[in-house]
Amino acid sequence: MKQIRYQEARLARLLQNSLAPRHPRPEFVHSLREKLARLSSMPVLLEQPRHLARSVGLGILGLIGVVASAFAAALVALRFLGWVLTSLGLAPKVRPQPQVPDHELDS
Amino acid sequence: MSVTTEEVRLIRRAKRDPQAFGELYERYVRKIYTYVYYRMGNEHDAEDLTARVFQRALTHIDGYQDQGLPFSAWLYRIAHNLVANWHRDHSRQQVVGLDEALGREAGDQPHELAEDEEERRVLLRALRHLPEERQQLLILKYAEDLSNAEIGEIMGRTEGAIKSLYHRTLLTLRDDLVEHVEKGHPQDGEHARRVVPRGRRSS
Repeated sequence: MKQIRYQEARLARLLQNSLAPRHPRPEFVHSLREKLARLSSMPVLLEQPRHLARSVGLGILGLIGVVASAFAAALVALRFLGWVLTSLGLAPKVRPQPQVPDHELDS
Repeated sequence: MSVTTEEVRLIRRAKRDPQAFGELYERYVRKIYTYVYYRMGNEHDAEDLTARVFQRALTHIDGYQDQGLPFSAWLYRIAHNLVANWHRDHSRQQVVGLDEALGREAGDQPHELAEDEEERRVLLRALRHLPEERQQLLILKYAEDLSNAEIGEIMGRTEGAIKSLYHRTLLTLRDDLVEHVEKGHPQDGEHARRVVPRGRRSS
């Protein structure tokens, strides 16, 4: 157990020495800062895809909504019209086809 | 490393004001670079991915939601995902250039310096063969000097889980070094033996 502790402590110390914080090149830090500043000063370019996608998505949803509503409204209207016509007795009556006995057909 | 009121205010400002994002950048660029560097193993890829981390942070900061975690946790998560994607896309472990990390600090004597460098080279090589999350843990612990609790916040685990993972990682690392010696790498053997004096597996 003591040996394990010793090894762990030694490994930990080595890791401490081996994984020292790194310093990026100042030119890199500077150029990335400028790049980010350029990107952030173009809010339209950055925001455009997100806004565009949102608009298109909302448009499609709206269109589906309008079509579905129109369809439902048309169904309701037709049923109502049918009911009105039936109530007024104006609905065309479907005459049942007369049943012709088979022997009459034969003669 | 809990999130401060000042940082919360800065993040809110950064959503509207690019200048404020610049402050966040200045605050974290070195930390993220260090993390990415040890995951990638060379300066070129580290710079490339660090740039991508901040570009992604800039474009997604609108959607950032304060969940009581430090802002750095969010950045580390972006960095972790980008590094993982990079390794997946390239399907190889980048080991070239880790030696750059060595020999930057002057030792007392030239031969001691050479031995220390060799020892670190062996250790870093073994480190880079660990699973991703274990590499992440060791880098955050040693390069970023974070506590287990802070690492837990970043990795989405409890402090106890991090502590346990850390100990298992040390044991794995030690066993990997022993295996390295046993498989016969004479050039590294002596240094691995120094890291693990009698090389006995514990578990």
